[in-house]
Amino acid sequence: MLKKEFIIKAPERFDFSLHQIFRDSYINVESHNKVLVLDLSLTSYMDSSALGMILLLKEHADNVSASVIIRKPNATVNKILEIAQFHRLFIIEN
Amino acid sequence: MDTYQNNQYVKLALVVDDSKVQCQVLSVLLKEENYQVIVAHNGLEAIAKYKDYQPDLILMDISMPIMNGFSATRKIKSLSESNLCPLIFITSDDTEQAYIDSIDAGGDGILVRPFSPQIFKSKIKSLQRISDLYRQVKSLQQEQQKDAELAERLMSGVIESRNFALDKIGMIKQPAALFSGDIQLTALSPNGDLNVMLGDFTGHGLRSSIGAIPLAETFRAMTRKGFSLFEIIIQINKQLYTLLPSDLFLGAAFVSVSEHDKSAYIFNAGLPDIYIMSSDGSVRNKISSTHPPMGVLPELFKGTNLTVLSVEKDERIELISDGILEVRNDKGNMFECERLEESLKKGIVENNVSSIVLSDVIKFCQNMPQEDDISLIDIPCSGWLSSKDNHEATLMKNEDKSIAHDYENGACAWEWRLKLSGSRLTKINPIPIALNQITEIEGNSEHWQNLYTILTELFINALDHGVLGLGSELKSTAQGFVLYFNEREARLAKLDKGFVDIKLSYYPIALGGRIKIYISDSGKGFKYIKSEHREINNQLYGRGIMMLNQLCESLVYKNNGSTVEASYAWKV
Amino acid sequence: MKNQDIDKIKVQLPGIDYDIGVANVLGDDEIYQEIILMFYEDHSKDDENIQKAILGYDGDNCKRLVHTLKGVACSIGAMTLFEQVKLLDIAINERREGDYQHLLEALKPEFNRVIKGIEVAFINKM
Repeated sequence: MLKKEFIIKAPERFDFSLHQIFRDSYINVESHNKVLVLDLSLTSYMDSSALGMILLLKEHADNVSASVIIRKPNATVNKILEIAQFHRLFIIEN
Repeated sequence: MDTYQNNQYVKLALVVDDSKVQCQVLSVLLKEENYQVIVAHNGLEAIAKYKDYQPDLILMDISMPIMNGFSATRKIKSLSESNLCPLIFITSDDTEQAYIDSIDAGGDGILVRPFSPQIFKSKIKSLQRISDLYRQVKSLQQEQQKDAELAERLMSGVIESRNFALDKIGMIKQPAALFSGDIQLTALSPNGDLNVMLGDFTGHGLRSSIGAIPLAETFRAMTRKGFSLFEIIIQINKQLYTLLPSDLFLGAAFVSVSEHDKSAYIFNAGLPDIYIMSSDGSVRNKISSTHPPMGVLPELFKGTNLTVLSVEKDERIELISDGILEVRNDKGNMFECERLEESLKKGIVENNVSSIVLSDVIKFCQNMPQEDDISLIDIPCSGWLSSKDNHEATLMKNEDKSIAHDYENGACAWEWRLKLSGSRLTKINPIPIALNQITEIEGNSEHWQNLYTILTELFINALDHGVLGLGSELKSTAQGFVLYFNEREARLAKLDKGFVDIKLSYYPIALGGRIKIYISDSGKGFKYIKSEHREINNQLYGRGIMMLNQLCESLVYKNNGSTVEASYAWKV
Repeated sequence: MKNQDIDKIKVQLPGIDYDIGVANVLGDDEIYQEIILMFYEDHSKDDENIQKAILGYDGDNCKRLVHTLKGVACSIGAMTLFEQVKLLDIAINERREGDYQHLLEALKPEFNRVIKGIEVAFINKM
C-alpha cells in the first residue's frame, strides 16, 4: 500500500522567524503510516535554526510513527544539509 | 515601577495654550485627575518648561503666537525619545487635516472642542495606560539588557578568559548579537598536546548560549584529566544531547595537535571544511564534515573516526564557522571559500592570519549588517609550550631522586588495581580513572602530570605492542605514523580478547611520596628485547622510553617486556 | 454663593449657557465666574482686533485670533457665538477671503450681546 504524503513547502527564506508557523503546519498530523515531505524547492536560504526545526519535525514524525523525506533542495541548501550530514538522518530526494 | 502605579505619586502636566481661559479650564480638569499643572502660553515657552519640569503629560494647543503647537511638539518629541511623555492636542479645529497633522507632528492623540469633562477624563486615562505600559516595557527591557550583559560577562569569563595559549593561537570572534552562538575553546592536555574546539550553536542570543558553559567545562576538565580527543567528543555529544532541546545543537570542529608526534587528530561535525595550510600559504588538506552536529544523536554513529594527519611544525590548521563564508556585501554576494583561501594565504605569508582575514572580511562587507556570528581559529602546529611547560624542565634532578631513596623503607599506604579485558580495552581509558583515584586520595599535586605521562606511555605500550601486537617500527616516519594509527584502529575494532592489568602502590615518604606502577599485558612481549636491559634502542619505543627514563626513578621490563615495573618518586 | 444669586447671574448672561459652561469646570461656580471675567479681559476687544487684521491683510494674526476666540467661546458655554465664529474660522481655513467681512459682521451682534451681558452682570457692579 502506498503511504500517503503530507507535504510541507518551505518558503524562500527558511529561518528562525518561521519557528511557530512551521511547527503549526505539521503538529496536527497524527494519522500513522504517513510520510511527511519537506519540500525545499522554493528555498534559497536556510540557517541553522531551520536545521533545528527540521529535527523537531523528525521528532514529531518519530512520535507518530511517520517518516520524513526532504525533497528538492537547491545546491546551496543541499550544501548546508551536507555539512550537517543530514543525509545520514533523512532521506533526501533531488 | 511602583511609583507610577501608586496614587500618592503626584503627576505633573504641562498645559500649553495662548488663551488664559483655556489654560484655566484645562487646569481644573487636570487637578481633578490628581495632576499638578504648569502652563505655557506659546510653543517656545512650552519647550523651555518641558526641559525644566519633565512633565508626565502635555496638553498642547495648535494655533499660538511665536511658535505653534506642531513645531513645539516636534521639538519636544525629539528631546524625549527615551521616555514617553504623552502629548494630546486640544483644539477646536475639527478638520481631518488637523487630526493628521497632530499625529504627524508626534502627538499621541487629539481632543476636539466641544468635549465634555467625561470625554477628557477618558482620554487622559487611556493615554496614561499606554504610557504606564511603555514604562513597564522599558523597565523590563532595561532589566533584561542588564541581565544579558551580566550573563555575557560571566560567560566570556568562563569561556574565553580561560583558554590556553591565547598569545599563540589566533582567533576572530565577531558576534552578531550580544551573545554569540559561536564558542572557541583551547586547552592543554597533560602530555603537552593542544586541544582546540570551534563550535557554532544553533541560532544566536542567550537561547543559543545555554550549552556553552557545560560544554566548556567538559572540554577543559576532560582535556586536563588526559582523556583522548575522541573520548571528549563522545562525552560532549552525549552531554549536549541530554541537555539541549531537540532543535538546539552544536556544529563543531575539534583538533588535537601533538607537537612531539607531529600529528593532528581532527573531527568535523557540522562545520565548513577545516583547512590544513602549508607554510607557503597553499591549502594542503581540507577536512569536511563527516558527522551530524553534536547533540543531534544520542550516540555518535557507529564507525565514527577521527582523521589523523601528520603535520609539520610550520603548518597551520584553520577552523571556521559558516558565518565567515556567508558574510554578504551590498551586491548580495557572499565571501565564500575562494576569498577565504586567498585571505588565509596572505595571512600565513605575513604571519598574521586572524587580523588579515578579519580586515578582508570587513573590507568585503562594507557596512552591510552582520547576519551571523563570525569565527575563526588559527592553530599553529608547534610552539605553544613555553620552556617551563616542558617535561624536561619539571623533572626531578638526580640528587632529588637520591634523596627519595633515603626513605625507601616506608610502608605501602594504599594499592589500586584495574584489569581491563577484551572489548573493554577499546572502550575505556584507564588512565583518567587511575589519576582520579590518586587525586581523590592524595589531593592535587603538580606531580600528577608526570605520573599521567608515565601511565599513558606504559599503558599505550602494553596495549599497542602487547595486546594488539603492533610493531613500532612503523612509527619511524611521519607518514608511517598515520599507517600505524589506521592499523591500530582496525585491530582495536576487532579486539575481543587479551587484557591489561594495572596496579598502583603508594608509599608516603618524608616530604614527598613514591608510586610504584605495575602493568602487565596478555601479549607475547617484545621480541627484540633480550633481557631486562633498559638501555633500549630508541627506535623501538620512540620518544616514550627516553621520556620514561627521565621521569622514572626506576623502570624494569620483565617477561620479555609483557610486564613492566616503574617507580616514580618526588619530594614536595 | 447662594442659589438665588446664581439664578440671577444666569439670567443676566445672555448668549452663555451657564450649565454647559460650569460643567466644563466640573461645576465649580467660583472658577467658572473667574473664567468668564478672564474671557472678558482678554477677548472683549476681539471684534475690533479681528477687524483690524482683516483690513490689514494680516492673515496669520487673523487666523489665530478667530481660532482662539472659537475655542474660548466653546469653553465658556457661549455656544451660539462658538457656531458663528466657527463659520468665519472655516472660511479662513479655506482662504475664502471675500467672505471674511460679512461673516465677521454676522457674528458681531452675538459677540456684543455676550460681552454686554458680562459687563452688566459683573463689571458694572465692581
